Amino acid sequence: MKRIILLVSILVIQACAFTDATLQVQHDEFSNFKGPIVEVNPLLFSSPALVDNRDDIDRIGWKKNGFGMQTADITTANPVVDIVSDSIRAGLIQNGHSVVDSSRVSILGSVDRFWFESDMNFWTVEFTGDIQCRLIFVDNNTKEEIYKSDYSGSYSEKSGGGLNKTWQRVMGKAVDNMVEDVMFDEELVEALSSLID
Amino acid sequence: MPKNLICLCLLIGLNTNALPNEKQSVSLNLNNGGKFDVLYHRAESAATGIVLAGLIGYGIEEGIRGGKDGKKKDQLLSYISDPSCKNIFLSSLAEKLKKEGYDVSNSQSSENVKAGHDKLSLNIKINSCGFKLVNTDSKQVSAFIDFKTILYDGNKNPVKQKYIFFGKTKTPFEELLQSKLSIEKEFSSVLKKAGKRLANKIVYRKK
Repeated sequence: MKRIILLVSILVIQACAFTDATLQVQHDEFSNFKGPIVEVNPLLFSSPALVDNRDDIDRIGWKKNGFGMQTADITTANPVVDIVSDSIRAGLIQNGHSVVDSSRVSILGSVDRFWFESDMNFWTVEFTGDIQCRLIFVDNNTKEEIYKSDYSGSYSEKSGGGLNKTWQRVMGKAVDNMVEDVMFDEELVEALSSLID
Repeated sequence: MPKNLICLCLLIGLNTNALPNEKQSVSLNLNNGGKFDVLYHRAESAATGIVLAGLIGYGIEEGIRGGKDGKKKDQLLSYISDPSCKNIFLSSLAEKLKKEGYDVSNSQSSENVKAGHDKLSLNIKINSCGFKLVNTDSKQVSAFIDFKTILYDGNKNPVKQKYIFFGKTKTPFEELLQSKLSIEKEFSSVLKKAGKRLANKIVYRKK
């Protein structure tokens, strides 16, 4: 009986490796995103309009079997551009700014990387989330680009193992760190502060 | 109300008004300075070795990967004048904190750092820094620093956080080697960025 249970368990685990996983990735609404951008006089931003510029737009990572072979896709329930855009909007609002349709500053750009990686070691597995995007800030009064920069957010953790919930948490923290990268960018603060009413 | 009590209240009021002009002190305690490393082959999965030959297979595969990474590390080190993880990182951290009005002191010992003190204390443990494979598909590497902090700010529970910062530029290792000058620039830039960011995390922790 024990052997049958063991065999069934192994088959179930192996089968899991061949089915795609869809993650509910989003920023943590309780994260503290406050940074130097809070020092800028409150501004009206448009919701970031981003394009998906990833090398691989079909997945955000691979499920791997015990040999490290890629067996199935890991994807997100919502488009990655929406996840990044929503998180930046949340960061701006937390820092005292507004996100509206009729704005002073437009945010354009691209999501260049949104990737989940798992690295199997003997006792542990290291899960890493890495997000990169390029943001272009445009003054709607002059229609001129006022600032452009690449931003990134990474997060990794080692554990004995983990499935969807762990992967979601890792990617969520990477999103939080990416938002922090924007809100803590002092050159962006300078560019926004120089806007004349 | 007795006159003495009114005077006392006024004095307290005056002292409280003077508080914002006082510098808040922060003590930086480095527990581990970390080492320059290149994580390229070791950043790839060692799963095959584990499955094929268990612990011994894993050990052998990790040994081989470590050796290959060691060669890459030597190649990069010849272009880096200061491979220390802590020097640029800590000076960038201290400089930014001073600029924000903090009185920064360094402490070699963490013995005096205990929860409940009014003074801010930051314990820093740098795990490693250098260059790491960040995309196993395109084989791109990026400068990085990996560290943990514990911030004691008078609250009962210290704030523990871990950070890994990557440089903005991602390039294949061979291209990075050919660029020569950008190796040191990328490395020092990520250390500076991490120091500034950590300082801002302290500055904006309650705002």
